[in-house]
Amino acid sequence: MDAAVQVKVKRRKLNSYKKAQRNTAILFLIPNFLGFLIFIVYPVLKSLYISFFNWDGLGNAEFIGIQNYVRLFQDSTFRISFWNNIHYTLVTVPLSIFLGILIALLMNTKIKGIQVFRVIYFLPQITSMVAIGIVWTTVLANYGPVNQFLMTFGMENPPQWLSSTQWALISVEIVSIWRSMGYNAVILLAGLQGINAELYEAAKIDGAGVFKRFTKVTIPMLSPTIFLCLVMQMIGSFQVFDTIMAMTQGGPGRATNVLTYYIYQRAFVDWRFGYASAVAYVLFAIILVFTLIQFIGQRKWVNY
Amino acid sequence: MRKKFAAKMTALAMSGLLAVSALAGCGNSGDPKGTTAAPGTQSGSQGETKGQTGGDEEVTLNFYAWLDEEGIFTKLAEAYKKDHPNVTINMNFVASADYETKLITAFSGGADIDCFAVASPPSLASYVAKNQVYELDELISSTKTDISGSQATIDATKIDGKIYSLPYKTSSWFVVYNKDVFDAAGVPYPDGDWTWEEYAEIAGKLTQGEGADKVYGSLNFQPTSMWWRVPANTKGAINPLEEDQLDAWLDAAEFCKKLSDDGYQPPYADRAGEAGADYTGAFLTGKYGMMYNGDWVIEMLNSAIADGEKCNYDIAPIPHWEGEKPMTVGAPATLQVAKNAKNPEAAFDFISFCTGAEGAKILLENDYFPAWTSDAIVKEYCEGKTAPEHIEYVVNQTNSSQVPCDPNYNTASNVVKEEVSLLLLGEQDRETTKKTITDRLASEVAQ
Repeated sequence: MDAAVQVKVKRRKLNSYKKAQRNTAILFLIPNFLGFLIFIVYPVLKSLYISFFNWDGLGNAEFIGIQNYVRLFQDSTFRISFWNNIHYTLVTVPLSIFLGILIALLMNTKIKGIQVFRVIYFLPQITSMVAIGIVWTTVLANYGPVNQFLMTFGMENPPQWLSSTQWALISVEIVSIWRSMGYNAVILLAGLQGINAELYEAAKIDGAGVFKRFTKVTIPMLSPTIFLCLVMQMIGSFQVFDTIMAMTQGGPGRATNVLTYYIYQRAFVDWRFGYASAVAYVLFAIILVFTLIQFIGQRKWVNY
Repeated sequence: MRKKFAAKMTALAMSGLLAVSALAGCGNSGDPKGTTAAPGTQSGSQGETKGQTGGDEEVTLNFYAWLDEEGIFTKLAEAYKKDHPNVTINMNFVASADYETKLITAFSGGADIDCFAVASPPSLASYVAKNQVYELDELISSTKTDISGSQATIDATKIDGKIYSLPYKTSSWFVVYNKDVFDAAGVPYPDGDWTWEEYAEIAGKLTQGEGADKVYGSLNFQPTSMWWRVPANTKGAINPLEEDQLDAWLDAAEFCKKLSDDGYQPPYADRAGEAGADYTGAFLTGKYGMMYNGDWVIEMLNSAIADGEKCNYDIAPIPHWEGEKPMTVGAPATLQVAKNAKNPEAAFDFISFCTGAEGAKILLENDYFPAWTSDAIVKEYCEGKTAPEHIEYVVNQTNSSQVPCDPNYNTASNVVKEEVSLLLLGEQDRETTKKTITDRLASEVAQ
């Protein structure tokens, strides 16, 4: 007995420094972690639970199994919103990153006053979406500046940007690209500036031209940053809400309805929390699948 | 005076009765919500206890409303307490955006609520569906409460033929017209009784010119809202979940589209987006002969004119359909007694005060548009107001609700709004619109 106790005490003494450190660490982590548990983990699990119920926010929830999920796939608005989401992602993500790279390359040159341009390109990101929405709806109005411009160049029937089902989603996509490309550019610029200049020198000595140096040095060295942008943009694009809310409210008809807007309507207009949670979980699954695909795909093209 | 005294006595008697029954251990003990207690059984025993209780017994009422209404209900409660010194009213005001959520949470948590306000009939209907609202017919007849001043709205907001709420404020639609446009076209001003057909005809006569200087006869839509439905509302079609009423809504949509197609008002697409929301701004340009609008527009136009805008306008009653009775509509906000109110009679007495003639006077003094109308209210409303000339049309029309007591109304009207916007844009014909709406209502409205 005595011996055993002694060993324990010894061990305790030995580890007391480590333990003290661990306790400090836990103390530092607790506030954040509690917040995470209460405001993220609990709601996430709870909404999964709710998604199997018919619940209007008051009174008893009725357990209905997977009926919410079954109904989803018969719901034409859900289908339309889903395809709008896919369209939106496929258009905005590649274009905003491509343009982001171009802008980053331009911003990387040593021109006087380049700082000003960096700020200008980044501005849309920190501007209120409501303000952006008002400005762009005015700019894209049927007799707005864009169409006036097109008409002076002889276009007789310029697009009805926001008031036709044909163009509305494209208009929203244009604004989204405009808004996010500056943000991408700033992140990509940081990536560009992290590329070792010696690599370019070596390539130059080996006789690589501007284009070769771009494809064989810049792109591979930038690929981790591009990958980061890609993942962030993709997740962001599936969660697009404010742009839609500020510009079209899902209209005309359902032409710009997307899943997050649909969740919002079902939950906070219709008070159908169960159904809205089911949609949220389907959206979560979609994002998860797309992100997994990207993480698997990255092995082929991202250099670390 | 006698009536009020009787009401007060009843309230006191009931509070006494409730106290006694609480001591006796309350019959329906297994049911904390008291849902099994029919209102009838309570008032049946009223006569027996009357006279036993009485005196100035203290009554406390818990009242819930949203923050925007803090000022008005504080004033109403003060006025009420002058005659009812024994009543204490605990006012609970919740941030307006969170009101519905908070109220739902409070109800499900079993909070002490005696009476509460809601902003619209559909939300009233959802509380009735959740069994949280006290049915008022018994109390209205037993206390002989006068509801004639808001009869049409009360009739339109009955649920299964029963009264659950009393409206305290509403709005009122009428036609605003630009006198200069009428003068330029040599058309006499509309005054009094007219039909929608005549409205369209006059809109045609007022329409003049081409291009940027074109003057349109009418503006009866706003892309962010559902104004186009108002003509349907004027014949009582307020709920698109009823098929015949949906047809009336589609008639109204086609009426709106035809005005555009005929060139009497701008194409729907031209005013889409934020730009279309500024209807007063559009009207003030002087390029529109008529638009229908609600009581709020008068303040907007008058203050713009005070700021130097030029606009020579007046108002006319909202038209009606051939063969229908003239009637205007509004979106009422209502007061109700909670099902689990400790003291339903006292709560009812308070809400009937707020929604009745005396309450209306106080509402009016505070720039609210009361749901109660009477000659006195019309007189008071018009007093001291010089513009527009025929301001009495805001208040002297029969006013009914343009919003049904249907918890699914918001969902349904959103669907209709989306699909009808395609009809108004000319992207979808009426048949497709109706079919899509019907299909979507079947799958999207909660069952």
